[in-house]
Amino acid sequence: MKHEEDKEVQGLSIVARYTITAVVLAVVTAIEVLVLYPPLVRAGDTFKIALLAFLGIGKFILVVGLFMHLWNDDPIFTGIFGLGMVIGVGTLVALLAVMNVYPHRSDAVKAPPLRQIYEDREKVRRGEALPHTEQHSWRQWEALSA
Amino acid sequence: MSAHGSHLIENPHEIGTTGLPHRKIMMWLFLASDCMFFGALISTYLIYRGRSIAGPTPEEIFDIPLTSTSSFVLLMSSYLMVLALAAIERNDLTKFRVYCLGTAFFGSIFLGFQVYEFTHFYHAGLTLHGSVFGSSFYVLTGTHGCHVAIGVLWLLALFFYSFTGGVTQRRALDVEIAGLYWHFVDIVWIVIFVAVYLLEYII
Repeated sequence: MKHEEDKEVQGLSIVARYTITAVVLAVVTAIEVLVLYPPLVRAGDTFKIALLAFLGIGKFILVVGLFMHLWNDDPIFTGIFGLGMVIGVGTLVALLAVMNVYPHRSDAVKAPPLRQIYEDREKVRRGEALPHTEQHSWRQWEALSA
Repeated sequence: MSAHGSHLIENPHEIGTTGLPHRKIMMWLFLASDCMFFGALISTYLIYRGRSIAGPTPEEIFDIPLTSTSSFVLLMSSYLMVLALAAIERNDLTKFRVYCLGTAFFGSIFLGFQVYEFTHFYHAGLTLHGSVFGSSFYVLTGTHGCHVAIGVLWLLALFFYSFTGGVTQRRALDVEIAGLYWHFVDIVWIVIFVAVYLLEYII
């Protein structure tokens, strides 16, 4: 009887822990959405991206650690999943670097805003010439091939 | 350290020389490979981000309050899933059925949101073939949606199987493995929600 009561108390504490985790996850999701609204968060883009990344990683760790039990499970599972994560994130970083997506690369041909592409396309339709610079070369190609 | 819930395993042959259940190791290996799969899809979306020459643009069609609601629903389904596992580990079959069905229901609501979103986007002019944004967006979120749909079917199978006596405390590993898959689907959405939806309104 005592053993059954202990199990029940232990069960309740587990449920309470999961409930607290769920509430924290919901609050963090709400904060993520609020970051988008300028009247609420007057901060630079870099800060907002860093904050979103921090909150996203926090949610990720909470779900993987507590809901998937990696926190108190065998380290082999953490190793297996960690290896997959390293390869997955490594692929992402490598591909972004290879495709010149990083804006700080001064020698990279940056992706132009969509509005510029629309404007260039309209210029091409009207028969107007586009500026011939190396930075705009692929933009011209997109506008001409549209 | 022993594996979580390994004392509840019915068949001793399921435990290998590592002292861990084979099926659980296989599920973690599958999830690790799925990390690479989604890593490639998210990379593709980010590489082609802002390079479409045809509209509509993400800012024109994304509905952040709607997507936030669906994200919240998926998070809560993860909560119900972990409660279902805790219930079956306590041999509380009634609560397991309630939480398992609740998880499948919340997963279905998430799928409903996605169907609504896809329909709305299609009518707004975003098609699979129309632009690189459309292609990369539909492939990424559609693949995730397929994972959710498979998870819902899996949970419903467990729910109905429980009425035949197939889901018991000694077979809690079946529920744990389904739970691992479901939580993984949730964490993939956490990344997609930030990288695809929220990032669009910042840079």
